[in-house]
Amino acid sequence: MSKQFQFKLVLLGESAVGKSSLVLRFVKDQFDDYRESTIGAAFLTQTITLEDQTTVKFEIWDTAGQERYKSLAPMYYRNANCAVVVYDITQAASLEKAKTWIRELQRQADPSIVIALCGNKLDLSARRQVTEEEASKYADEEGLLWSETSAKTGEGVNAIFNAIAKKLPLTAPPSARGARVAASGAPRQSVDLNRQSTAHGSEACNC
Amino acid sequence: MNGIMEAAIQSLLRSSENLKAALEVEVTQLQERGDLSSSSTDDRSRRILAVVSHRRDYVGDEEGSVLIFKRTPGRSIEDLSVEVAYPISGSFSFSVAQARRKTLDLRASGGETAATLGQSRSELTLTIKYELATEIRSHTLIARDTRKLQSFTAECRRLKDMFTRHEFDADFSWLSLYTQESSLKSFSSPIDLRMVNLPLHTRLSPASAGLPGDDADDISIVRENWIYNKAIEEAFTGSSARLLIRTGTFNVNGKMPSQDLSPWLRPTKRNSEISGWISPLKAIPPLDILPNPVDEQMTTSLGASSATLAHASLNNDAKVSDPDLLVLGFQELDLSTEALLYATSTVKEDAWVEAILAGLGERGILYEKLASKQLVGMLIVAIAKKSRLSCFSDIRFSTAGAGIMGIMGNKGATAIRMSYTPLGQEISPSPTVLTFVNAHLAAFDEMVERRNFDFHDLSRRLVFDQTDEPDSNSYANTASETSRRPVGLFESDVLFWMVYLNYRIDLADGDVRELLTSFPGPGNVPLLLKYDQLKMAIASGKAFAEFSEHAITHMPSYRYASNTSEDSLGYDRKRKPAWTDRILHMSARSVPVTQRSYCSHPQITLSDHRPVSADFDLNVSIVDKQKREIAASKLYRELWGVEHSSKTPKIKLQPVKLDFGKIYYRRLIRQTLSIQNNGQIPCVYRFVTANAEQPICPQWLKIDPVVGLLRPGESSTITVTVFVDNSSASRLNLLPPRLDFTLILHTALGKDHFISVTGEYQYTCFANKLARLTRLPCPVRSMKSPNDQVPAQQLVNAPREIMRLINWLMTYVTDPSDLFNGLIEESICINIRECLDTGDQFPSPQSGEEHGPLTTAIVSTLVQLLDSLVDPVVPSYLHARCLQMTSRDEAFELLDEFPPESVNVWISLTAFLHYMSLQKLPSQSSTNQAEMAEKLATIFASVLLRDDLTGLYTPVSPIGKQKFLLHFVG
Repeated sequence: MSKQFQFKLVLLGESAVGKSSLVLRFVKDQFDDYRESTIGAAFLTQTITLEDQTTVKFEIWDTAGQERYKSLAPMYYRNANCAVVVYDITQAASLEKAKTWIRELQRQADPSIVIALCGNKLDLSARRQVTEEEASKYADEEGLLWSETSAKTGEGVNAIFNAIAKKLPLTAPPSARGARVAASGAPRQSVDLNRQSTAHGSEACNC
Repeated sequence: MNGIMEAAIQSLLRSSENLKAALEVEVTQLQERGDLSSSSTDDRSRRILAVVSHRRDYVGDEEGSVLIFKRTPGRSIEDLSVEVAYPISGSFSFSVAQARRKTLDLRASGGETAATLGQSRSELTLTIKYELATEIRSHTLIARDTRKLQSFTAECRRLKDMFTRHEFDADFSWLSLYTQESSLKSFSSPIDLRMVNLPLHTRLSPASAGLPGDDADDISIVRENWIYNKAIEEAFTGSSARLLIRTGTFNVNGKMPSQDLSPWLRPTKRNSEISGWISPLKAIPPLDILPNPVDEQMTTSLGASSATLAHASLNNDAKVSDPDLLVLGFQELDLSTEALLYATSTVKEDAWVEAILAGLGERGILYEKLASKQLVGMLIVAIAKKSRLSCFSDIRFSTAGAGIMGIMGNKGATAIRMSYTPLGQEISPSPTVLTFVNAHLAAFDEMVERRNFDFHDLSRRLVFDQTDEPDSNSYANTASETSRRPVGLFESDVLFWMVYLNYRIDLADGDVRELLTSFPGPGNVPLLLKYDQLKMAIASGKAFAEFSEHAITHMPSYRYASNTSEDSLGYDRKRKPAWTDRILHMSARSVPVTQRSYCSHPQITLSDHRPVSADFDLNVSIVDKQKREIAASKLYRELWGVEHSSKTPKIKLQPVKLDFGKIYYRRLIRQTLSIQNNGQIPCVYRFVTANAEQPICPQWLKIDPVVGLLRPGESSTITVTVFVDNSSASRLNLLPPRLDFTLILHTALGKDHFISVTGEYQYTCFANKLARLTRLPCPVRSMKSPNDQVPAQQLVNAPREIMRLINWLMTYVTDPSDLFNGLIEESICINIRECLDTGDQFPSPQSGEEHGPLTTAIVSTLVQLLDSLVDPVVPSYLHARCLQMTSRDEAFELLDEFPPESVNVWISLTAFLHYMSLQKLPSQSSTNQAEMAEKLATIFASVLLRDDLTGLYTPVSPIGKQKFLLHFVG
């Protein structure tokens, strides 16, 4: 039986860097050219299977990037196992904002949180303002995962989530999923009734 | 082929389910009920057996279930309901035998069985077994259609194979729709009143931003509530029936009826007329009905206080009709010792019933006893108009002792429950369940905890489990097993408690008597009721939580003396007067109840208690019973399974920012949000808090509704109200004026939406500490920062705002009775508050013009300002000392211990009150100067020495407070 894990992931970053688009590409493999800005926090889930058949289920909170909602962000990154901090490679200021988020996470989030820095809008690399060297150097210094993506073309999107999954502590015992009692009513996709109990590093347990 | 049957079943299934086989069978024996035999082949034993498969949308696995449908007697084959549903899992097995009892095990070999079945033209018995952890359920069914039975068994085998192969993934959650189908019946009987009236959000799982609670569970709670209400709404015929009920409670102290009971029984025309007291409206000074800042609600701030409204409703019903139903509770019917052990005789009951009918006078012939129940000293009697007798059905009784050992009947309750169905309807209406309790709770002042316990104990133990009389009404057919199950007391639409509850007044005996005597008539009743143990128990939720009791305007009903030991009011000198005889009710929102009267009847003097009566007017909506059941079932199907959908809920909120502009103290502003479900599945939404320790919104903000459900395409409105009360203002006055809050609306199993609420708070002099007011550098509205204050050596003696009000009154008021004349006009009060906050001039009284309204507004603003202070003018720790002062000199000496700002306010105020009491009263006035001083002291004492609500200091006697103030005023 394959191992299954479940992790809480939060997306942070300046408004309009493409957080929601990145999630939409990852979860539904879709892209909208015109998306309204997120006023709130969207919840989605996606399960990926690693080479060793281990499955990792991400419970994703896609937060609002607007400054006025900044005070609510801690509510969403508390108990998160991993964070994707997104910047726009065509906006130098968005990397600065990303660095602020990273500092905040390092200070206030769970110490074992896995942080990935993600430069989005790779399809617009002609208008690039942030060089790969600059971002990767910063990521190395801070011990972050780093990658560039394009939510529009899909380039690098799955790779970054896979990289996060591999870096997460996949050492917990396999889930007891098979032992689930018939007619218990636990649904399987996109929904989990025991979300609240997702403490950091906990393994998936659907029962 | 019986296509109708298959179509009928398929119509009950959702699109994800498929009917595989179905056949008609007969029940020979059910595990639960052994009373049906195979010989009766009427509708009652007929069943339809079906095997259904379910295919999940995202995995290929198929799951199966066997459903047994019941046919509604006398209805067509299309009218089916699910009796049981078994998942075809490891626990499921079946066998088929020929009627001559040779068992064939179908599991052994398929081919051979098929051959056997094919040959047989006779009946076959099919046994279905389902093993649960604790028991084995089995059904033996007779089938005649062998061909259909064959395809049934083949499908069952196939699906069981499927289960064995995919056991790990088996889920069967889809089946709950069909197993819950039977619980759908509960949608047509009343839900526990404590539950149905509970705000829905309090029943949901705890949740906060980023940490949703149990969304699936919340969905089902919201959905059931929504369906229950929606089904009623859809089946509402648009018309309603009026039912007049008169209730009464009377502790007869072991006496036999020896007086005419008609005042207690006949409709009360006017509260005051009958009870022999002056209309309470005249006796209550206007200042007394100012909204109480302690429990101020938005409703009271919006206009007339609830007290005035209540009085109005008592008097506006000039034309009083005979009640349709009279329900009377008697206590201490029999005080003999034998009666405590066994009650056999109905002599006393008969005598009282006779006295009731006699008391009804010439109307007596219109009535007949409907039901009665006695438990030792407690008797409950229901008497109905003969013309309405057939409206009442399914009458049930319950009794519970609460006396010695909790079983002997000297204390306890008797109760009657009945269904009311309006007559003369073309359709058959949903009945309204009425429950009446007559209770007698533990005695003595100090036994308050015991009484609270008794209430909860009786609430739990009063259960109605059987029909005492044969059910002769038209509902007998449908009122089968489900309506015979035991039902709790609160499973009613309207619940009345008529109680001798022995709750007393928590004040010294002398104070109670003095307060009752001092004002003409029952003028001090509202003040006394503040110390009433029942009112306190209700307020704290310790007993009778959520019950309504009409404002009391009558004198205490206990204890009257029958001999020389009476006081001037006729009360026994040895027992503190109290309102021990009460009538309370609780009703579902769907059944509006208006109380028309609430009074005691001092003319009836045979007991040491006076009987109390209350008239109720029920407006019963006529709801089509059948339509309601169909609607509930249809809605249930429509909304079921949202929590299992692979689609996410989507809503659109408009706008996402609410700017309230300038926000003033006690000025209500309302804005709305529109919410639309633009997704593909029904959506349950609720507001959640950012942080588990916080409420969903600050105190100055209210959201309605907090929880909701929208079907795809539906939209509704959410109202957001801003209202700054004293408690909010006391905090906001010390914070920067910019208000900014983000509301979080969570869609179950979906997104959190943010709504920002902003506004500019306008500082006010209300709801501050006195000391802070004396150090304000300028009018409060001109302050740049809440921390601005003058140095200690520059502080003013007394707050400018209070002095301005007093100076105005000293200047313009010549006749002190002007202080209380006229209604308080809220618009003038707002204007005066604004002048205090900005430093602007008060509107000046026009010479020659009536300035009564302005005077009333100024004096009421003064009382409100004093009452809004964070700490009372006289600090709580000094209240007990104040009451010890026996002379004017002692009282003045105590001022040395007051904080400096309090002394100055106290001196200015009492000087003003003293001056007022010395004014010459107009000759036509009936009040003298001493009375005026007393009146002023009554109003101001309760404000200046406001009771401490933190529980740190015990409230002191209101009489004592007045006396202390009178040392300065009189």
